[in-house]
Amino acid sequence: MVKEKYFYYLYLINALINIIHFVPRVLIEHRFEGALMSIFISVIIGTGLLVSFIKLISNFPGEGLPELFYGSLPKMIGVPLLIFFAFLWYEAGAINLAVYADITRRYISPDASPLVVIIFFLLLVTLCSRLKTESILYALETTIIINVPLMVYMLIKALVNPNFSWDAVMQVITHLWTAPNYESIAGATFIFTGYVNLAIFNRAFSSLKPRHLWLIPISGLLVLLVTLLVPIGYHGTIGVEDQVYKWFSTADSIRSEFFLVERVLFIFYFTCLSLTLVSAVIQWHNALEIVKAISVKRKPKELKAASNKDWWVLAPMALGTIGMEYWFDEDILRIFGQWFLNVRLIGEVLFVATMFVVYRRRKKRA
Amino acid sequence: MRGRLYTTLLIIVLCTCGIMLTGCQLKDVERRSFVLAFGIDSAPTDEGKDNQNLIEVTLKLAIPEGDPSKRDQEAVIISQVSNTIPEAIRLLKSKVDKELDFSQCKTLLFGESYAKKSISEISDWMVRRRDIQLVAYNGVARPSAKEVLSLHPKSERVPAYSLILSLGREGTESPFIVGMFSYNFRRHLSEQGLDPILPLVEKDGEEAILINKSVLLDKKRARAELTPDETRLYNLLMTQNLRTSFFAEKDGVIYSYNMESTHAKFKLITSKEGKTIVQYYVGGRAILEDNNQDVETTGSLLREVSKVASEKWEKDINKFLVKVHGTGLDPLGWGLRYMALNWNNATEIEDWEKIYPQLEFRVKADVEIKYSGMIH
Repeated sequence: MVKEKYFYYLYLINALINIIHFVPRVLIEHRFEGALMSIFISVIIGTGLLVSFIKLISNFPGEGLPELFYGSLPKMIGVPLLIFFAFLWYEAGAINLAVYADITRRYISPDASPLVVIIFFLLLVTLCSRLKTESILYALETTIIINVPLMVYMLIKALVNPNFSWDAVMQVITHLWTAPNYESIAGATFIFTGYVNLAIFNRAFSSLKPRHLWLIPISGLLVLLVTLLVPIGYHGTIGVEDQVYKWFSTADSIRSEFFLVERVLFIFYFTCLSLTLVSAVIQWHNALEIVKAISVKRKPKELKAASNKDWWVLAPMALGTIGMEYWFDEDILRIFGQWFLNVRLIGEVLFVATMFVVYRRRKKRA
Repeated sequence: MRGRLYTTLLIIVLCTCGIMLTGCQLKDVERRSFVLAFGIDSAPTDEGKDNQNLIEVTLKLAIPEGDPSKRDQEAVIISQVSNTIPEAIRLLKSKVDKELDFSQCKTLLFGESYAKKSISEISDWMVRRRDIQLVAYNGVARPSAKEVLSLHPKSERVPAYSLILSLGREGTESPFIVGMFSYNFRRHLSEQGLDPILPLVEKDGEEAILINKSVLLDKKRARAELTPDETRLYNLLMTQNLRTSFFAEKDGVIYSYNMESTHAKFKLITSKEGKTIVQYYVGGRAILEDNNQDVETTGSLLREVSKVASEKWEKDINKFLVKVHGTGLDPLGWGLRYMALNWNNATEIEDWEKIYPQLEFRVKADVEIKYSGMIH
């Protein structure tokens, strides 16, 4: 059983990895069409979903989603829902890995085959996602503690640069009163999504009543504003569109004369690498545990932590990811990622709603 | 038991693969030659050929050696004429026996004639290639990038290092150098209401380079040139705490003073007649460096010299702004500021295009010469 602070790590890792690809991309794409407004709306939606889920699940300490569904929902509804959620978790991890393999190939080793890169990522992620839930949380804590100071350093470095264009930032802010669209709201809410991992990770919590929940909307708003505005300050309101990986180009534009390496890009790469891998481990752990809970006939609580049968679940997941990396080009990956974000928001609302139904039924029975 | 055996085997295989993958992208340092500076010129076109857009790419290479403190680090300079940059680099690869490595390339020079034609290809190439840093320094070279790169200044220990030191203000901090990183240059090229400016790197004799002028560009090519004094004023208006000295003349005596801190900002004001005025506020604290007639320095004299100096600034900066405005370019970002503060987003670009030709300038300078140095 772990302390409540681990809930914040689960939130934080999702908020941090968002800067790698899809969220900055969709926000910047809509920077003149309501990105800022969608940030404000998504803070409300995201915090709302997060807080209501926390309140609901805190009534059932130590129980994961499959255990909660078991008995309180009819099997005909419970199992398809679980499969849908497991698929979302799987896709979240798979897209992360595919994108990161692409980034690795671009910035670090253009000669290496992307398949080799993704196979190494997959080995690590599959091996680790079989670990015990608590162990993954401890690994998460270590990763966060090592990487957050580096992130903060780079952010400060980025903001004190005299070449940072506050006029460009202001020019985007003047587009505040434009109506937002669903795509950018779906993108912006993604940073609050870390809490859904509690579906399985709640098994490790003996009680879940995190204090200082007001930190969530404030930090979320700041993270989103930084995600959108810092690349604009570096590449300009128009030029920012040209960059494929906005934040990697931004990190490459930051110069640290007196640090270990002058090119901040490399520090940024390694920070994001560890965060991405740990986040993929968390997401796949969720997917794996849910599939295991469905496939086992007995009551899911009697499950063993890891067994060789896990590989029957992980192997198709890994193969699917390799296939994604092999067949998808940059543009399809982008469209696919956007669809994932769009479906995810609906799935998340569904997720909290089911949780509410489960809560009502349990209460009636008790 | 068998499961554990397989795990152990797997780990061993993984580690062996890991060992094979180490190293600098599969090629050792001795098999690489590092490109330290990149130059591009428009090649002289032959009369007979139809292709008029030939370019000449020049690379300054360093060969890794044992002792970096020795001066005999001879640079290798190779160049190639071609119609595109990647093609030129591919051809250059057959002129060296080692793999070309661009990861240390921190200087990109555009020859003057090339910059006057079109810079779109080079600006696209340098941000598209992942191994060229976005914090590389850009500049325009006179008479050509090839000739500037071929120079080997006496003070230079590592090839092309003098360019990096001066353009990046790591070594000399000259107020006459406009530092321009690739990402910043690219931003200036794409942004509405902001135009690029690049430092001009000149060949000065056989062994020296001179950087004290700058070139104004529109979105495509070089358009105008700033003199050293104007370049310094540009830096004064664009950066905080510029280290430089000026002089003021009072009663026939010339007083030189050195700036300890400077500040500059501007506002866009609409006058009563509906005209838009760019109002600059500049100023700073200074220390008296010398006067050429041995006049005794008193408190009132300091204040009077300050007043004269401020007036001179106002006159000079106004003249500079009017000249920049006369070129039709906007290197100081007035247009961007207008759009940043204007919430009427639908029409602001057209509005600015109407306003720009009628812009007026006002300068309010406040130079405070506070100290007289060590003597009165």
